[in-house]
Amino acid sequence: MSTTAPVRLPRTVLRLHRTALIVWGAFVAGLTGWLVWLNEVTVDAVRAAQARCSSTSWGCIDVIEFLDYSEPTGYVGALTCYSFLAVAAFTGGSLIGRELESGTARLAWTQGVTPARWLAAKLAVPALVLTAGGTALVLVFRWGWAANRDLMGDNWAFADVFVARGPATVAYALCALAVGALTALLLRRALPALAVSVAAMWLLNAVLERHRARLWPAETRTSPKPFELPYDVWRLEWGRTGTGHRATYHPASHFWPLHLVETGIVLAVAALATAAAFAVLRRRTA
Amino acid sequence: MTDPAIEATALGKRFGRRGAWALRDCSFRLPAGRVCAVVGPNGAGKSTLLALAAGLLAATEGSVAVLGTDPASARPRVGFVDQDKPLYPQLTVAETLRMGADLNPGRWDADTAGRVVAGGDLDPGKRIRSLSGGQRTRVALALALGKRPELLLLDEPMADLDPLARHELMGVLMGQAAGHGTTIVMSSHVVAELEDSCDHLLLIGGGRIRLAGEIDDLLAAHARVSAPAETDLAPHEVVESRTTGRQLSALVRPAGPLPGDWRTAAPSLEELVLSHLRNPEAPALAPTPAHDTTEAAA
Amino acid sequence: MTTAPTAPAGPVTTTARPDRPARAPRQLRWLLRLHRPAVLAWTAFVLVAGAALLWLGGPLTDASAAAWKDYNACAFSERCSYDQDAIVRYKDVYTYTTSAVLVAPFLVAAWAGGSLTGRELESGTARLAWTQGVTPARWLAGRLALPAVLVAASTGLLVWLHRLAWTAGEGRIDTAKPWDDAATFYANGTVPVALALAGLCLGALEGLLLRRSLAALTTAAVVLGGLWATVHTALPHLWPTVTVVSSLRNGPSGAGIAVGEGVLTSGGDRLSAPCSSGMIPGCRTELADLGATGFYRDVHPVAHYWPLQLTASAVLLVVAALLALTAFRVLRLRTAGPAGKGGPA
Repeated sequence: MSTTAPVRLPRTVLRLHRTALIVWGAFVAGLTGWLVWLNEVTVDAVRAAQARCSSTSWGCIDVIEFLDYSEPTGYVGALTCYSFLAVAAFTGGSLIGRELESGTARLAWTQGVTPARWLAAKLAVPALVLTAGGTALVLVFRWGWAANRDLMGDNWAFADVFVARGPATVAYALCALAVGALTALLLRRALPALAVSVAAMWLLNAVLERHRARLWPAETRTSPKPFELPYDVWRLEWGRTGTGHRATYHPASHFWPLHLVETGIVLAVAALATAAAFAVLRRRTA
Repeated sequence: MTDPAIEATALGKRFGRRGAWALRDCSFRLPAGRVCAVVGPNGAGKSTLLALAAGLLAATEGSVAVLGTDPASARPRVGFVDQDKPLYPQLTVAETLRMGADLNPGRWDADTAGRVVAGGDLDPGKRIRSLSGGQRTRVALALALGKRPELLLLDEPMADLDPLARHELMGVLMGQAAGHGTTIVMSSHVVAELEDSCDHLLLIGGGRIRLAGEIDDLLAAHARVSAPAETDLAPHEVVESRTTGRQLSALVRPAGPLPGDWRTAAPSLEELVLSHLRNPEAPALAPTPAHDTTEAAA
Repeated sequence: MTTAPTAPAGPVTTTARPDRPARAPRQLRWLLRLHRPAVLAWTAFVLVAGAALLWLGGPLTDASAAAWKDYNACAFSERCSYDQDAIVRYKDVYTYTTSAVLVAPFLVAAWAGGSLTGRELESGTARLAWTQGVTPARWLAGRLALPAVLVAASTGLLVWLHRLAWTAGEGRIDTAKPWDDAATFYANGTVPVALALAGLCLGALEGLLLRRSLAALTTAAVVLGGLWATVHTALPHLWPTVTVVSSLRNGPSGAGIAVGEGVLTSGGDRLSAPCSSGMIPGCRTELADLGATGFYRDVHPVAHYWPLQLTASAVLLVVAALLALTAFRVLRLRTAGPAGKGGPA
C-alpha cells in the first residue's frame, strides 16, 4: 500500500480534478490557436487593407482594420497574465477548500496517505500542469506579440504584456496555487477560501504592478536642450526642470531585470505560502 | 374512516431520462397513526420514497397521496428529516430553533422543540458547524417535531446516535405518536433498531416493494418449516429454502394448513426481512385493503 | 368519521391549526442572517467604491483639472510646473472605480450561483427549508426578490455616482474618457444594473440546475460574460443610427459609435469606400470612377446614449425574467408541485 501510494496519488489528483484539467487544457489550446489564427490569417487581411492605403500617395492616417489584430492580441495577453486569478479561485475553492469542508480530505488521510503527502500531491501535480501550460502560453505569446509589432499600439511596459512575456506568468500561477492552499487550510470552507484567495492574489498583483518601476534602478537623462527618447522605453517622468529637460525611464533592455526581480518576489511569496500551508496542516493534524 | 397517511399507486421515480429506476411500481397504503419501518438494503430506494412523500421530488410515474391530498399541499403538515441531517452550519442551535418558529408561524411548538434539544445537553449558543453528528440529528429532529407534524418522515434518523440517545429519542418519538396520533415513517437498514417500536413494515428491495403491511399480519402470514429433504413444499409459497444434509429448512407462506410432520415455528422479523432480501425473486406480499376494513371495524 | 385508531380522544393537533394560518413564514430575515458575511462584504464593496467615486468626482477631478490647466498654460514656455501626480492619480482611480462598477454584476452572479442556491442544494439545506413551512416556490421567490432589490439599489447607486464623477471631469480633463469609450459607456448607464439582475437570476438558475456550488459559481460568471459580450455586439443595432454625410474632400466624419461607413453614389447606393479622402489624387479618380457623391458614416451620436442604454437594459431585464421563470419551472418540475398538474406528465 505505502509503496504504491506515491505512484497512485498523482493519478487520483488528476482524476478528481478532471474538469479543471480539461478547462485548463482548453484554455491553453484556445489561446494558442487564437494567436496563431491572428498571426496567420487575420494579419493577411490587415496587410491587404494597409496595402490599399499605401497604394495612394498620401497613405492613410489610420487603418481601422489594425484593430482586428491588435485588440484580440491584447485580450490574449490579458487572459494569459490574469489566468492566475482563476488558479487562485480553483485552489481555494475546489482543490483544497471543498475537500476540507466536505471531509474528503480526512478520507484521504485515513486511506494510507499522510496529510503532508496529500498536500504535497495536491500542490505538486497542479504545479506541474500549470508550469507546463503557463510556459507554453508565455512562449506562444512572446512569438505572437513580437510577430507584427508595427500593427500593435502597446509596448512591453503595459501591465499585462509585461507579465505575459516571461516566467512571471508561471510564478503568479504557482503563487496563486500556494496562496489558495493556505487560505483554504486556514478557512476550511470552499466559498470563503475562494473569495479570499482571489482577493489576496489580486492585491499582490496590484501592489507589485504599482511599484513595478522601482524594482530596478531607472535611467535618468538630463539635457539643456529638448530631446527625444526612443519609442520603446517605459517613460516614468518627463518634463522640464529649472535648468533644462529631464526624463526618467526604463529602456527596453530593463525588461528582463525588472521581470526577473518581480518573478523572484512572487516566487518567494509562493514559497512562504507553501511553507505556511504545510505548517498549518501539521499543526491541525498533529 | 380517516385518510391514509400515505397511499402510493404504481409510484415510480427515475433520475434523468435514461437513468435507472430508483423506485418502481410501488403501491401500498399506510393507515394514519402507525409507526412504520421502511426497511431495505443501502440503495434500495428508501430515501427516494420518503422524499417523494415529502413532496421534495416529483414522481416520474404513478402517484402518491399524503394525508388525503398531494404531497405539496400536505407539506405544511409533514415533518421531514433528511438522511444527512442538513442544517445551516453558520447558525447557532438557538437561532436554528428560532428559524423554525419563523418559518412555521401558527404551528410552531417551541416547548417540544426545546425539550428535544435540552435532552442532549446542548449549549444553545453553539454553532451547528461545531456539533457532533448525533447532536445535529437531535437539532434536526427538534425542527421536524416543532412544526407539529401529522406525518413524520425520518430518513435513517438514528444512524448517528449513541445507544443512550437513540433510546431517549425513540421514546420522544413514541410519545409523540401516542400523544398526538402522529404517523411516523422511519427508514433504516438495521432491522433490530425498529422491531420493538414499529407496528407497520415496508420492505423495499431493488426499487420495489417486497413486503407491506402490519408487522403482526406479515409475521402471521409466514412460517419457518423444517422437513426431510426432497419434500415438495407445494402448494405453499416458498420464500427461501435451504437443504443441509437430509434436512430441508424453508420460509413459506402457507396456502393452507401445514402437514403435521413438518416442524414449524414463527419467524422473527429479522428472519423474514433477510429471507426476502436474499431471494429477490420471491413474490411480493402486500396484504391489501382487507386490513383497512378490519381496522375500521375494530 | 373516526379519529385515527391509536390517537386518544382530545385536542389532537387541531389546536395548532386554526384553519390555515394567514401569516406567511418570515424567511427574509433568515435569508439576511444566512448570508450575513456576503451582505457585509457587499456593503463594504459598495461603500468603498462609492466613496472612491465621490473622491474621484470631487477633489481628484479638481486637482487633475487644475494640473491640466497649468500644463496647457505653459505649453511652450521654458519654465513649466504642473501637478503630474494629480493627473496620474485621477487616471488610476478612474480606472479602478470603473472596473469595480463593471465587475459588480459578476460578483452578484458568482454569489447567486455559488452561495444562494447552489450551496443549499448541494448540502441539502434547501430541502430542510422546503419541509419547514416554506414552499419551494416561495423559497426561490424570497431568494430572488430581496437580493434583486438590494442589488438593483446598490448597483444603481454605483452607476449614478460614476456618472456624477465622469460628468464632473467632462471638458476639464484632457485625458478624461469620452462617452463612447466602452468601459465608460457601460459604467455611466443602466446596463450594469440590468446585468447584475440578470446575473442574479442566472446564478440562481445555475445553482438549481447543477446543484453544486463551485460549478454553479463558475458557470454563472462565465455565462454572464458571454451574455455581456452578446449584448455588446448587438448594442449598436438596438437603435436606428444617424447617417452623417460628408463631402468627398473631407472623408467620412461624424463622432460617436460608428456602425458602418462608405461612399454614396448619385443613384443613392451605398458602396464600401476604396479610400478615405478625395484630397488624395489617386483616391479622387477612384471615387469618380464609382460615381461617388459623398462619404457617409452611420453613427450613434451622444444623443443616442440613453436610448441605447435603456434598450440594452430592457433586453437584459427580459433575459433576467426568462431566467427567473426557467428557475421556477425547473424547481416545479423537480419537486412535487401543488395539486393538479404537479409533476411532469
